[in-house]
Amino acid sequence: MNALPRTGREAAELLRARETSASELTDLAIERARADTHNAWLLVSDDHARAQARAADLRLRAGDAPPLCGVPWACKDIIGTKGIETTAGSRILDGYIPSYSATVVRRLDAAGAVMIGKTNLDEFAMGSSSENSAFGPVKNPHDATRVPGGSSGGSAVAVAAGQAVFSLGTDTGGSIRQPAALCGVVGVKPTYGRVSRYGVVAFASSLDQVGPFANDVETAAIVCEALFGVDENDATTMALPAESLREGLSDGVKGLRLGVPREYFIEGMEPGVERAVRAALAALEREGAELVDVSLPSTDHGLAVYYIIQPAEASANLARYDGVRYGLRVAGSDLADTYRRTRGEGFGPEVKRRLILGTYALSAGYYDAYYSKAQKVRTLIKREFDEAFAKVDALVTPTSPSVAFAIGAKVNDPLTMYLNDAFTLPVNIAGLPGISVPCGTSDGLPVGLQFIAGSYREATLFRVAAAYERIAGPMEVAA
Amino acid sequence: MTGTAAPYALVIGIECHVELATSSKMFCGCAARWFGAAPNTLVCPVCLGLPGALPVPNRRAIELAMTAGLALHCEVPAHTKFDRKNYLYPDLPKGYQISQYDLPLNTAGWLEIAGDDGRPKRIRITRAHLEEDTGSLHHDGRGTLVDFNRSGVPLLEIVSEPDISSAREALRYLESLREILIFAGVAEFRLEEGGARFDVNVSIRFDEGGETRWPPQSEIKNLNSFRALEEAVAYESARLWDEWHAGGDIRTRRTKVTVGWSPERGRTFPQRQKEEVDDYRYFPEPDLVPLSPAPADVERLRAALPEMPVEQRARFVRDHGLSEYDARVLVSDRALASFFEDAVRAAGGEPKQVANWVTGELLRYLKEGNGAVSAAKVTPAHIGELVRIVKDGTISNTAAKEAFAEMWVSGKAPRDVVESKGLAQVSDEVQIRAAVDAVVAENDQAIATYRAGKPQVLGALVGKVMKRMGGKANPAVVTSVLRERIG
Repeated sequence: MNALPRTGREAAELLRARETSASELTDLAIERARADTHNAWLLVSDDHARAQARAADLRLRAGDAPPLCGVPWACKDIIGTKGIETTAGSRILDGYIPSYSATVVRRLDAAGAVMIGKTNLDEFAMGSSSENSAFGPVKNPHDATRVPGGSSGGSAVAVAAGQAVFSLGTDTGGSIRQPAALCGVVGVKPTYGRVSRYGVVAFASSLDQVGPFANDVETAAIVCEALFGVDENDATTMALPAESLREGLSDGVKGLRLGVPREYFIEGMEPGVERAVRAALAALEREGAELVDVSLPSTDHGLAVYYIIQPAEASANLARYDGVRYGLRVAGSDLADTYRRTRGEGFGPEVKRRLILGTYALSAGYYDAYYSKAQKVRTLIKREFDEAFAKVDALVTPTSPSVAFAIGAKVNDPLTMYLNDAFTLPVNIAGLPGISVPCGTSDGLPVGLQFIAGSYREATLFRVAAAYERIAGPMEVAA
Repeated sequence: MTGTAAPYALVIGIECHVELATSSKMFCGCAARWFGAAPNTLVCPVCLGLPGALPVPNRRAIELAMTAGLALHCEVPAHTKFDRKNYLYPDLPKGYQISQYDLPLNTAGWLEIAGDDGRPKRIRITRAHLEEDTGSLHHDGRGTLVDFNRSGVPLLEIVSEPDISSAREALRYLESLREILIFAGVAEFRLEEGGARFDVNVSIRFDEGGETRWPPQSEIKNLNSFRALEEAVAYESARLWDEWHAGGDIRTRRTKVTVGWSPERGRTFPQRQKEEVDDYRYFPEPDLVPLSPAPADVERLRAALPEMPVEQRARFVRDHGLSEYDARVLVSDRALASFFEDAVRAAGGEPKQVANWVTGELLRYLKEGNGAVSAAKVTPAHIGELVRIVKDGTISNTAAKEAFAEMWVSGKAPRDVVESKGLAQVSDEVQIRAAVDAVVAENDQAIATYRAGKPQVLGALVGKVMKRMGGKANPAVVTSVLRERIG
């Protein structure tokens, strides 16, 4: 065997047919990860992975193993792993080893999945290009001079480049869906409250959600089944009956009403992206979906709302990195000086920019004008989505207005960079589930198609995405 | 009253931070009883503020906070939420404290104290909100160490209106607050274990040249005993007055000053005003969902609320005819008060007699044994029975005390003790008459004296009869038989 199985289903079948073993898959994944040239990995945890693989092989031999048993995966380095360094891509957490694992990691451990290592990302998930990592930028496997998107760039690359069967990312404003689009893989951002955030280094608490990357929709659904469910350690998770996310995958789109929000086809979108998305819409219509023109008038304000709420929450969440208890500490002349030096040296420029923005937005005298108003607009945006979902089963939009751009092209222009997330962040603002699936190419680079469903309607999301995937055919694994 | 001597009136408001009596912390499962534990042994990712940790609200703490509010006549809002209060300090592991800002769990309450003029006075309570405690700093020769055992312990912050007019009223307010919270089962209020702390706002108001002056207050932070509060208020108010007359900064300043209290030096000292502390940048805690207390839950908590001490005392005086003193002693302890009421029921009335037993023998024995009412072998039913058999003449009061001593040790019922120790009184006239005859025969001299018009010797003769009968005779019967025999 010289390539990893592309999907969870293939891996499970090979493992159950005894054509391979978890240990063999793991060795292969480790080898591929070590050979990676895209700076996708921050850490390959060989010993831990091999021990997990041996345990998975025992379970597989005993029969009755869950579907992800023995399947190698990659973990975004913002998700805490007990005994394994977790940096969030930041110098301030360089060398930090958590004393406990995130709930999502424990759930995948329980499912028998094998974690190969930790993937590179924008520092504290702040970015859309994976260039803001303290440990160097990640490169796109389709074109190494281009970015993979972000912030979960490393996790997108690991799957796109065949180094893992699936991976986990976090999505605060598009950090799973946008890199999935730019790398040509499937990426899911579940409904806020579906997946526990416990043990995931917090960025913007009311927006953050963990989700999977995979090469196909079914694998993403299998991973979501393992991740979903109430967690007593996260008060924002919802207790809902367990449901199959795979049952409806082959139901198709015939008779479904798919909303096409006009505000998502803006000036400034790359023509190649628009062409690919329009072609996808036409294909869905041919399959029997009814396309419905809808309007989400507050979409324009999404970016402004997001860039108030997100930095505001981040400014509090990152206050704990003070050099007192863990991580980097740069001693100063007194306590205040130690804080200044530690945080001054520990955080990169984009993190500092957002902490300053967030602190400002929450300051006395500005709170009402910024944070409070942003929350009101947030309610408005949610309401517009609710109204749309009264009329349609799902929305279809481009995931990103552009394909992968050149490394360095936008890094000094934060506003242009922030526009990358204009189509994904409203979904976080409204707490909805969204998925990006590959939708052809533009100039040889992958384009992503985003589906959005109502709260807790992931089953619909996967059904529609799987139907489109059958139309589009599989994306080639990148070099 | 301070005002009798001082040429100014005092205006005082108090913020009282009380630890709630929960077994676990506010947002995690760690034990909340931090006092005396070895440093950093009661900690977990949540109360250490480790990356990725999330708060999970302690339902019991929320119930206790609501119970406290109900006991303080507060209003329960339809919606309440937690907020983040942002500031950096090494004892605050997340860099923010989870507290409540604009929608506290309790608003607009009051409690009643005896004012300095002797009349009842209502002190209004602005709000009472829930928050988490911080860790504690320990300074030694090598530097500063942080202990996070206290981090995340649930605190109720009770904020009064500036309705308090003297240090003594302040003390009465806190004593009343303490009593109510203990009675409601909300807090233990152990000051010696850091279970409550006070921030006190003090200002002075006076007339000067026909104009009322009311310069900005001082906030005295982090007082941890009633005595410290009393001394600090006296010191700081005098200091404000002196500063005014020395033409100090107080004449032009518009904002309050924050001071600490040094009990060793007996004076306040200015606290460093940290720039970043001026703006806490409160915003709603996104890790917790807002709460809407269900009216049914509120009513359930209200129904479970015990009668408050001030009301219970009044009822004991009014309905049971007790003295203020006895009522105060009984109500000082919720368990003692209910013991008393149960015993009154068992006795079928006789509240004064029951109160005598409870405040007398029972409390004396409890004090000697350093025990709690709940652990005593003597039950309210026993006291009730004891009162009944004294009343019906089965045993004398003296014998009853002897019986109590035995009941205390063995936990036996009074009738069993009376029987086994032979404590029952003899009221049988035939037996008594025989003893009287014998005493009369032996005491010609005394009888002559009695008959000569000195009735006071009767007591000595009764004593002789009692002695002859081993102390078991009914003294009333003895007296009447004797009188009849020699009269």
